Amino acid sequence: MTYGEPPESKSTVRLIDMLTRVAAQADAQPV
Amino acid sequence: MLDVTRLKVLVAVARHGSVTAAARALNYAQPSVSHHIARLEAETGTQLLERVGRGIRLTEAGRLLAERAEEIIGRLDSAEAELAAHVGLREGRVRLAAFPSALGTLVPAAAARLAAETPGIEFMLTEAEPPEALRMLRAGYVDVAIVFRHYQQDLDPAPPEPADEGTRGVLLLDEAIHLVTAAAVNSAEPAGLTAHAGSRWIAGCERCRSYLVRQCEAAGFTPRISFTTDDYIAARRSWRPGWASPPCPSCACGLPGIRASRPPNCQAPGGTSSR
Repeated sequence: MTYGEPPESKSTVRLIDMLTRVAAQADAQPV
Repeated sequence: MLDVTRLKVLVAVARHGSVTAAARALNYAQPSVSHHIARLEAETGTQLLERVGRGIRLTEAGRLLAERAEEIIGRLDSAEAELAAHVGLREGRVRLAAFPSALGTLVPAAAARLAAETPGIEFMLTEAEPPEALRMLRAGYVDVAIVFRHYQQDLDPAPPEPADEGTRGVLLLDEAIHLVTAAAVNSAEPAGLTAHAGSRWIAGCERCRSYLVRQCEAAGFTPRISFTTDDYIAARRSWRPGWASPPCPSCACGLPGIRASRPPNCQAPGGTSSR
């Protein structure tokens, strides 16, 4: 977070967390 | 203090290129748009639009104000949503911009799970290639941008940083780029790029095209690009013997009738950025 930037909303934090979890599962699956 | 409604009108004119199109987008009457612009010019003491032939265009001052206005309106929009979530008027809203293959894979899976965990959450999704997604993020039009960058292990010193200036980045995936050819091609065919030096190539967005050309030139040939598209449905319909393309990593590999192989050292890290 850069100084002066607005804080992320709870929804944004939740979405990024969920994207990270989905990506981790996708990464574990063979193409 | 400049009037926010008039700034919205100026942004609409800048975005749509004419008073008529801006009026249509805003659901205003055309004279109303002209009136708002005239008032804004009076407030600022500056000409913001000028006539060019039968149309109009923004003056230098108009472009400057429109760019700032776009940022201001995006921030106001964010503030409104965050305040609404804070006081419990709604669970929350999240706006995301992402490139097409992410919108077809990661995003729907994440959105479905998040909606199940957080009923009432509202998603606003926009398709945008990385440069545009980051511009939207900085302007406050979206809260999260999913972007990607290419790098080649034997040419680049290190993977790129996931975050740009003024953003926070999270690395989601570091994926290999796959070469896609028609499945009808001899399955024993070597997977290397040089085997396709004589093929006709399908290239994607400007950045993907640059990456393709760089890869092929490193392999000793210049690709003969016959089709430029970001539309994977269109590209998929064009894959036939003698054609090749390097799609984004995961999206095309599972499509029927095509063959995906992995040239060495081709990577594309994808990550989110948020303000």
